[in-house]
Amino acid sequence: MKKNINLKRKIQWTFVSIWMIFLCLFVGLRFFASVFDYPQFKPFPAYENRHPNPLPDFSSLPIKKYGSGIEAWYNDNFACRTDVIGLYRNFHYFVLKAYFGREVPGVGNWVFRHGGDWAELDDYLGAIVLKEKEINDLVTLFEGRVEWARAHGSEFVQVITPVKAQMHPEKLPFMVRCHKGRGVSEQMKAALENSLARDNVLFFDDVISNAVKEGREVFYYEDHHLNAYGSYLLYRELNKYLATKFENVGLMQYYDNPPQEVIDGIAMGCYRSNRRLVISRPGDSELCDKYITETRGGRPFPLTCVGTTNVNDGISIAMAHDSIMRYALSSWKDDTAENMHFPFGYGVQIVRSYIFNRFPTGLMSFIMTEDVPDVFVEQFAECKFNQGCIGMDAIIRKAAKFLNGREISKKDIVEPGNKIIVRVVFDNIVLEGYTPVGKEMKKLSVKLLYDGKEVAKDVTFPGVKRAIYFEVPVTEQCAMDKFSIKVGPKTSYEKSQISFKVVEKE
Amino acid sequence: MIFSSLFFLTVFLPIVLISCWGVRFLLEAIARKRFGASLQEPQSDGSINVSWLPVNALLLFYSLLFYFWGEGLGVLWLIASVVANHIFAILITKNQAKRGLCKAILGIAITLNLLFLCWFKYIGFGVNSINSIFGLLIPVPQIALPLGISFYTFQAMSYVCDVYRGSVAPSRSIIDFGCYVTMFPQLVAGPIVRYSDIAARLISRRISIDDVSYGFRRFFVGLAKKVLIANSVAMMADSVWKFAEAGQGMLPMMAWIGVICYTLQIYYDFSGYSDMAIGLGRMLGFKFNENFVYPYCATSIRDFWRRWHISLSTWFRDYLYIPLGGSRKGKLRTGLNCLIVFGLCGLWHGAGIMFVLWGLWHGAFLMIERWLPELKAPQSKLLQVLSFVLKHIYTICVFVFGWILFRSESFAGMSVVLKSMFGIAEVTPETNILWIDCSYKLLISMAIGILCAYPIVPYIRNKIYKYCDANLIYSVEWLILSLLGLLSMLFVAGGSYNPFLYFRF
Repeated sequence: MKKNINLKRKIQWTFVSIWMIFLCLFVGLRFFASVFDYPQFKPFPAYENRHPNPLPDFSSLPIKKYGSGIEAWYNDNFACRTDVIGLYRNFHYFVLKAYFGREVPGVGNWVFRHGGDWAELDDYLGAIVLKEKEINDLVTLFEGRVEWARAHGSEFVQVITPVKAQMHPEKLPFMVRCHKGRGVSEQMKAALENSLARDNVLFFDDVISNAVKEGREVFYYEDHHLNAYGSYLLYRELNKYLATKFENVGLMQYYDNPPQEVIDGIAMGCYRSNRRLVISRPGDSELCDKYITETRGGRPFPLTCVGTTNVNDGISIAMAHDSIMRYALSSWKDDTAENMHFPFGYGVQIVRSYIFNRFPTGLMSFIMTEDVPDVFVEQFAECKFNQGCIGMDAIIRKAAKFLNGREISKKDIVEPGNKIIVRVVFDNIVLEGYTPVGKEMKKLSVKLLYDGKEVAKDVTFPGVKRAIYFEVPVTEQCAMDKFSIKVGPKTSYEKSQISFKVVEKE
Repeated sequence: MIFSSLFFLTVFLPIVLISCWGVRFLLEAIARKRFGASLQEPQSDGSINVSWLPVNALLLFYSLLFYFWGEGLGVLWLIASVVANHIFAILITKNQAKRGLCKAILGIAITLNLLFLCWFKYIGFGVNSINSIFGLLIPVPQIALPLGISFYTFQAMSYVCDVYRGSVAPSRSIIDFGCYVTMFPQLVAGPIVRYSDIAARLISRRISIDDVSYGFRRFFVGLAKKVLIANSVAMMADSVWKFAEAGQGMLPMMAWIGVICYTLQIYYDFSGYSDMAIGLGRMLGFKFNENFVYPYCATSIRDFWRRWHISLSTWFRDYLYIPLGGSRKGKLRTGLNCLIVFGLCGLWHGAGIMFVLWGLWHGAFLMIERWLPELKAPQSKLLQVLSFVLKHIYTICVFVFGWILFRSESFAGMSVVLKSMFGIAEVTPETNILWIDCSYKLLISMAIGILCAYPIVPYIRNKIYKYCDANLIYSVEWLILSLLGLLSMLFVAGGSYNPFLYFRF
């Protein structure tokens, strides 16, 4: 009996001692490492996309936040944190098959995302339901941009890219796979069916799903990005579209042979080399020979860069996009940017890439200060439709109304109770003695006069081409030929063109 | 600071344990060297017995630090409560002969304690209720609720009442009393400890390896309950109620899963915390009473409340139900007492009408059970089993519906949950994201949670102990609990993962 008790005591002492040592290890190891510089801990994991919390500055914190501040610092700096997080992550992925953060494990080692900034699973499940107002606003946005760009002598193309969950349902977790709902692309396609902007909104799900059906790998397993081949397919499709709009844009000679045959040199095509696309086609040479990078906010990647061809002819593209269409337009590292391959075919001379941007009217106006690109392309993924109508403003609303309005001539008379949209397009409007510096844009006042009296006013900016819209409610019989424009002092322009449309009663 | 945080587990707890044990060991070593006497009991020849006061003072310091960590200057309210109630108890003791005066002091003590609690916890609810009922627009005071105020106020009140009743001698040392009230293991989430339960141990206790070992094992059980089960099912429950409160109906399967998840969450969360508190107490030499004894095995609501949050239910029984007359004044009065006590019990849980309704729901069934005639136990085994099963199902239905009341923030939310459960709610597509939560992790957690709600583990354990070597089983238990502890700590540490959600990269 005494022997049993002694043995039990030994067992107790052993386990308690081990646990006390283990609990003290986290702080002990960190202290030891700070004094003796050993052991070396792995750095803070890159996939957390943030810096670790520093030790709080108590002078700037309320007393009640001291504790949480210290805990936040400790949670990011305890010994072996990166290894522990990795172990926890793997346990969730491979043992529990449960989501970790916003990453949801699928079949095999496929990973999907839900919620937050990339709600692809939510979209697959049909959990993103756009309200009528949201849908109407988005349609108005597309229509307004198409009209506004055309007024400036440009074209606007909206590219909507598919998400992995929609393209690979067979890789989704079982419970999710069985409950497909109505995704946002379906909702938007239905809404855009009768829209005048329909041809300018490109849904690229077919091209990706066809490639998937052919057994091609187009997505990375472990994150939401298309791989270089998938991205190349999107550019190819965009190139085909541009060829229908611009005479000189020729279709790239695309060779879509299996990558191994290309690597072996027996076929033309493309293959992936260390996450970069290598295109092999006749007469090809290194195309991208210079770039301009502009970093903002200390981020380690270029937010704006320019890709050009050696050929000094062809259209120019301004492209706002996310990382899905990053490949071949910009590089994460400055020293490899020169090695990027130009993703467009002949007839496209220059592409200005605005990664992680959308195209609010102000940015497009800024881009057009010295030169109007032939086409603006904005790309985002379908799971971002519910993230607000970015780019919608009064200008775009008026432009959309103008697009849908009924055309009238200068000789027409409009009865009261209607609304007219007047579009004025200036060529080379300048402010005398003013030279734009950096991002500064000087506002120029423009007034719309009816029979010499001001009925509306707005602002524009100096530029090679500027369009401005006025919305005028008609309260008495209105003759179009009595409208005129007046610009502010020291403002001059080469020529102007006024157009009128009647907005149908709402 | 919560028990299931990495900072508590790897910084605060080791420091507290090492320093408390260390100080005690040092004092005993010094005393042994100086006096060479046994230190367990005061010796008849008057040799020195080492006081626990320095350790209690250290514990008091750590407990106040623990409270300050989360509440900041709110610790001053805690200190004020300790000082005030200690003074009241001393005053009552000094005026024992004057019963009238003692009663008055008790009255003042209870009033001040309740005012203190009501001011911080119920003033907003009270003003909102008055505004709703009378259509007024009285501005609602925004007062931050101090952590654990319900627990430590009730604890302090019970102490003063016990001193008045003479069932416990008052603490002569404000440090010992402060240590009792503020003791961090039970400060913020119970159990509500009676002074009589630990009075003796405050003055004289022994921390043996048995206690520390038991403490660790119990702590790991509590940590696993909280981190592995409660936290895992909580996400689903929260999602279901988030949709319900927004008026969005869901599929019946989702609603049922959500309700079951919440039923498991509240039990494992609460009992997990109690287990951790009991374990920590044992490591420090204190034995707290059990707070949960497999409540989901109950076969009646009376039985349920003998197993659920025992420290609270006994508190209400001793300090409210019995003074109101208990069951001694006829059936009608007994029923009324049940409703009053449980209505207030609901209010104690939270300042909201749904909590009160939850309390009244339980009170009503307790009342009904008291009124029902006692039935003879059936003769046949089959009927006994059937009777047990039916009573058990009835109890489950009552407490599960009660949890729906408890969890819902509004009648509308509760209504959506109930309608969804029975398939009469309009299902909104947004609720489809609940399928994402239906992972293996959830299903495993639910399965383990439901199984462990019944005393299956002790049953298996007892069976094994009959056939195998006790020390071997003990070692295996330690290993299993250590693995649970490690897994729980992995989950706790992994919870520090907090990515910047910028998926534009």
